[in-house]
Amino acid sequence: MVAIELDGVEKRFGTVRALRGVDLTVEEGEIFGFLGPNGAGKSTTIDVLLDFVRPTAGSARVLGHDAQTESKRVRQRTGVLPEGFDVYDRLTARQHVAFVAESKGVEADVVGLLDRVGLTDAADRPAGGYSKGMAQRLALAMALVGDPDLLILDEPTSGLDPNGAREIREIIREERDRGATVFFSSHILGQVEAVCDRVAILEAGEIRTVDRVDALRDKADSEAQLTVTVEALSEGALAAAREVAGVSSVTAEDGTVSVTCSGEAKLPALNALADEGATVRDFVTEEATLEDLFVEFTAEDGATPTDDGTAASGDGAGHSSAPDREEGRI
Amino acid sequence: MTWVAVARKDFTDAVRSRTLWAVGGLFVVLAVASSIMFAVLGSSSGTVSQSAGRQTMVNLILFLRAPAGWLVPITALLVGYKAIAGERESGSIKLLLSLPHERRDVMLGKVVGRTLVVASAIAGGFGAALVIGLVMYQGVAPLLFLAFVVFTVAFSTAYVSIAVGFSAVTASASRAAAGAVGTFALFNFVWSVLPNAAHLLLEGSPVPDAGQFPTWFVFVQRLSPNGAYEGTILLFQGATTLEAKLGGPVPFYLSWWFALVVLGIWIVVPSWLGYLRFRDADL
Repeated sequence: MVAIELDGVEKRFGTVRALRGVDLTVEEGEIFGFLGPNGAGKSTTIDVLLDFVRPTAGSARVLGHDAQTESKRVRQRTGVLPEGFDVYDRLTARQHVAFVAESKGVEADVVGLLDRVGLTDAADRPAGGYSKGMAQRLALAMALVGDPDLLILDEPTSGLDPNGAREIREIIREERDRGATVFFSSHILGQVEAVCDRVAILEAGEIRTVDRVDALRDKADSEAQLTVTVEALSEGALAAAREVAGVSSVTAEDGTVSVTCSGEAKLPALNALADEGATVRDFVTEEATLEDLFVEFTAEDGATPTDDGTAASGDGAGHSSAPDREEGRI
Repeated sequence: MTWVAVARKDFTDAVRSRTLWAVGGLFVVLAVASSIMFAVLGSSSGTVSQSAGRQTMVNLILFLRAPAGWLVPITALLVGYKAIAGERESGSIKLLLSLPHERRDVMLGKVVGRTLVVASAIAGGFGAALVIGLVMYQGVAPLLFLAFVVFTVAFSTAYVSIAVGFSAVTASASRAAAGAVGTFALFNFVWSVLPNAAHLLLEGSPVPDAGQFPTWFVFVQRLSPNGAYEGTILLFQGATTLEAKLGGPVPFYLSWWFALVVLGIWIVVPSWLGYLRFRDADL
C-alpha cells in the first residue's frame, strides 16, 4: 500500500514557483526522510499533504484519500508535528494533548504520552513558558495521540539538543515498528541518515533524487579523493595513475596531483605515481560522505563536493558525519 | 461536529487571558455601578406594587442598556479579533488544522467559544446588577430581565461574529484589529446619523419633527447591530413611545422581534463571509 502519493504537484505563490512538479511515492510502513536545504519547498509539500495550501497543479493522495477533497479523513489518521508552529500559551501540556484526543474522538493516555516525550514535569504548566525544545516535545506528543497510521514530522529535531534528537529518532523507530509510516523532513542530513529507510532530496521545488539510504551510502563510498603533493612529476606518472582500475580522473597543478577514484583504488593509484618516478612528499585521502552527496544534489549548479569534505550544505547547520580523512607522510 | 472541541479549547484558552478578565471586571463594575446609581437616582419608595415592581425592572433595564450599548461591542470585538488571525500569526493554527477539523468547524467553534466568553462577562455583570436590583428595590419580573440578558448576548454574538469574520479574512492580527475598530466607529458613531443625512438631503432638515418620523428613518437606524439592540427594548417599554415618535402604528419591521431577526442576520452573515475567505486561503 502507498501512504503518500504526489503526482506532478506544483505550487505558485504569486510569481514564486515553490514546487515545480513534485512526484513522490512513500510506501506504508517505511521511515521516509525528506531532505533539502531551507527554502527548498519541504514545508510547502507538507502543507499540500495537510491541505494547508492548495496545489496550483497536480494531485496529492494520502492514505488513499485525496489530500484536498478528503483532508479531514487524512488528518483523522495522521499525526503531525508542523514546522513554525506555536503552542497555546495559556493551556498546559495536558490540555493540549487532551484537546487532540477530543478532536480526533479517541482515548489518549495523556500521562503516558507526555512521559514518552519527556514532558512529565511540565505537564501542568502553561505551555507559554516552554522552551523551543519543550514545545517541540509537546507537539510530538500531540502527533502521537491515537496511534496514527501516518506521522508527518516537519523538522522534528529543530530546537532539540543532540540527546533530544536521539530520543526523537528512537520514538520514530518505535512508531515504525508499531506499523506506522513516518514521513519526516529535515535540512540536516545526519538526522535523516541515522533513521530513514529511504530519502528524497528536494531542491528548489524539485525532487533531485529518491533512493534507499544504504544505496546512497554505497554511491558515496565509491567516490574518494586522493590529493598528492609531489616534487618531480612526469606525464608518464599521470598516465600510469589513470590506468589504475577504479580511477575516474587525474589532474595535476603546481606540484599537486588530484585523483578521483573508488575507495579501493587509492593505494594502487598512489603506488602507480611513485613507481613512475613521481617523488611523493605528502598525501591526503578523503572518502566522500553522504554529506557530500547531499551537497552535490542540492548545490545550485550541481557542483561536485568540495575537497575538504565539509562544505556547507546551503545553510551551514549541523553536520554529523565528519569526513573520513586519513593523512600520512612518507 | 468537531466544532465543539474547538469551542471548548477556545473558551478554556481565552478565559485565561488577563486582558479579558480586565474587560470582564470592567463589565461587572459598570453594571453594578449603574444599578446602584439607578437605585440612588430612581424612585425611593420602599414598598412597591406588582406593576410598580415591573416598571422598576424595566427602568433598570433601560438604564443598563446605555453602557451595554458600547461596552458589549468593545468586549466582543476585543475577544474576537484575534480568534483566527492571531492563530495564523503565531502559527498555532498549524496545530489546530493538523487535527481533523474542517475550516468551518474552526470558524463555528471560534464564534461559539468567544461568544461564551463574552456571555460569561455579561452574565456576571448583569447578574450582579440583578441581585442589587432585587435587594434594593424589590424589582420583580426576573423573566423580563432574563430576556434582556438574552438580547444582550445576541447583540454581543453579532459583534463576535463581525470580529471573527475580520479575523478570518486576514493573516494579520493588526489588520483584523483595524477592522474591529472601524466596525465600532461605524456602528457607534456613523450609522445612527445616516438617516439624518438622508433626511437633510430629502427634506432640508436633519431631524424630522416629533410625531412625523418616517418609518424608513427609524428602520435604517435599526439595521445596524446597535440599532437592532435598541429596537429590542420595545418588548420592555411597549410601543407607545415609538408610536408617538412616528405619529402612527408601529409596522412589523420596527417591532422588537424583527430587531432580533436583524441581530440574527448580523450573527450569521459576517462570520459566513469570513469563512468563505478562510476556506479558500493558503495558510
